Amino acid sequence: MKKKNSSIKNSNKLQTFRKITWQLMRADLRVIVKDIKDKWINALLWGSCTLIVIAYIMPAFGLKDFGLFQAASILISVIGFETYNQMFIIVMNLEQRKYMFYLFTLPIPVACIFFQKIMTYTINSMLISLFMIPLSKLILLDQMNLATINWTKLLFAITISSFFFSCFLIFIVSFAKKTSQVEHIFMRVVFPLWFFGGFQFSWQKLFEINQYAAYCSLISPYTYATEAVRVAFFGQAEFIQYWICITSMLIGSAFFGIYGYKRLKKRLDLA
Amino acid sequence: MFIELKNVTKIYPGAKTKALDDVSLSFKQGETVALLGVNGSGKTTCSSILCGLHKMTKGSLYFDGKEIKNDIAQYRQNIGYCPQNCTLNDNISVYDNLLQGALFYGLDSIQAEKATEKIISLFSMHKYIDKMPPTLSGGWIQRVMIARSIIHDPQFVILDEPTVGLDPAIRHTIWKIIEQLKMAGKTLIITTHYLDEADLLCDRIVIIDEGKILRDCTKESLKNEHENKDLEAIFIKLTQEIENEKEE
Repeated sequence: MKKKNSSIKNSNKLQTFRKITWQLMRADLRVIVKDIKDKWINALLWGSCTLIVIAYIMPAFGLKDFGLFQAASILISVIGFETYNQMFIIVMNLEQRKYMFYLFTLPIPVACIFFQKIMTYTINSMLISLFMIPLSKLILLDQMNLATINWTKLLFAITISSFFFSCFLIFIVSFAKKTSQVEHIFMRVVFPLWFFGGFQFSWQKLFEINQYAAYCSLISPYTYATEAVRVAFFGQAEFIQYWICITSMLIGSAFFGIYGYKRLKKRLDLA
Repeated sequence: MFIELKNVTKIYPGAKTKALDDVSLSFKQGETVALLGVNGSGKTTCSSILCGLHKMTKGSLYFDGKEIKNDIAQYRQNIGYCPQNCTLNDNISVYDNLLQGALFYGLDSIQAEKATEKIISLFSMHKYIDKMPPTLSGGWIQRVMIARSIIHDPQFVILDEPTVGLDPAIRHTIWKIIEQLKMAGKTLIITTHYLDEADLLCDRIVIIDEGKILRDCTKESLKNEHENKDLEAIFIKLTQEIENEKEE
C-alpha cells in the first residue's frame, strides 16, 4: 500500500514536471516565432553573399562546381552562428542574474530547465538551417538538384547537428562567466573549430593533403556535422561515413550536455 | 505549516568567508519577519536558500517538519520569491509575464487566466498590462515582480529588498501591498536594510551580521529591552557593540 502511494505520488510529480516543462517550452517558442523573421533575414544576407561569391565569382578563379558543396557547409554554419548568438544572451542573462534565475526558482528540477532550453535552441537552430535550403536552391538554380538529395538523411543530420550544438552551447556557457569572455571564446575556440572543421573542404581531401591535420580536424564537431550534410547532398563516396558522423555527434551531445549542465549547476551554485 | 533552517552554513564556491554561519531560524504561518542587516551581512543568501535557489554547504531545511533534501522542486511550490533584481521576461508583456508565472507553477490555462486577472485587479495594474518590462519604471517593475511571485497563491512569500532604490511615494505603495499580503494571512519574510520598513511592517526582527544571527525576537520585546528606542537606534547600538567586541 505504501509502495503504491509512493508510486502514485511520483507519477503525479512527473506529470507536474512535464506540464511545467511544456509551458516553459511554449513560452520560448513564442519568442522564437517572434524573432525568427529577423534571424532569417540575417541568415539570408550572410548565406546568399557567401553562395553568390562561391557559385558565380570564384569559378573565374578556377574554383568550379563548388556552390552546392559550400551550401552544405552553410546549413551547418548558420547553426554555429546561432549558437554564438544564444551563448551571448545566456551569459548576459546569468551575469546580470536576470530571467534565467527566475526559472531556477520554479517547482521543477534544474535539469528539466536545461533540457527544455536545449530543446528550444535545437528547434530554433533547425528553423534557421532549414530556411537555407530553399534559399540555396534560389541562388544555385541548376547547380542544386533537389531530386538527388537524400532528404531523410539531410533532415536527420540537421536535427542531430542542431541538438549537438545546443548541448555544446551549454558546455561553452559553463566556462564563460562574463559577456566579455564570449567574444574571446568565439575567436579562440569556436572560430578555429568552424574554419578547420571542413567549412570549405572535405575531410578526405584534407587527409590526402596532410594526415595529421586531418586527424586534428576530427576534434572539431563541425567536421562531423558538415560531412553528414554533404553525404545527404552528394552520397557517401567521398565523405566520412554518415552513421559515424551521427553517432559521434550523439556521443558528443551526451558528453557536452551532461558535463556542461553539471559544471554550470555547480558554478551557479544551484540547489 | 512552517519552515525551519537548522544549523545552516553557507560558503559560496571559491569564497573564503562564510556567508551564513551556523544559522538556525524558523518561520511560522502568518508571521511577518524582517531579516535586517547591513549590505553583505547574509540576508540575501538566507533568502535564496529559503526559496530553494542555492544549496547549503552544511545544515538542513525543513518544511512542515519534513527535511527538504531531494524534493526541493516540490518545496518551491509553496514559496513565492521576489528577488532584488528584475527577473521579468523582457520579450513579453506584463500580462504574459504574469500569466506565464501562473502556468509555470502548474496551474491550468483557465486557472492561470483567472489568477492573472485577480492579481491585476489587486495591484491595480490594468493600464500597464500591455507594456513590455523594459519600458516600466522601477516602481512598476517591483509591483509586477511581487505580483508574479504570489500569483500561484503560495503560503510563504520571500521579498528580497522589495523597496531598494525606490522613491518614498512608491515605497509607501509597496508597503500597502505588503500590508494586503499580511491581511491575507501570508507568511512574509522581508530582507531589508530600511529600518523604518521593518518597524512598520514586521512582527518579528532577525538581525544578521557577518552571516550570524545577532538577535531574533519580536519587535516589541526588542524595543522593551532597549527602553523603547526606535529600531534604527537599536540596530546601530547592536552593530556597534559587535564592532567594539571585535576591536577588543
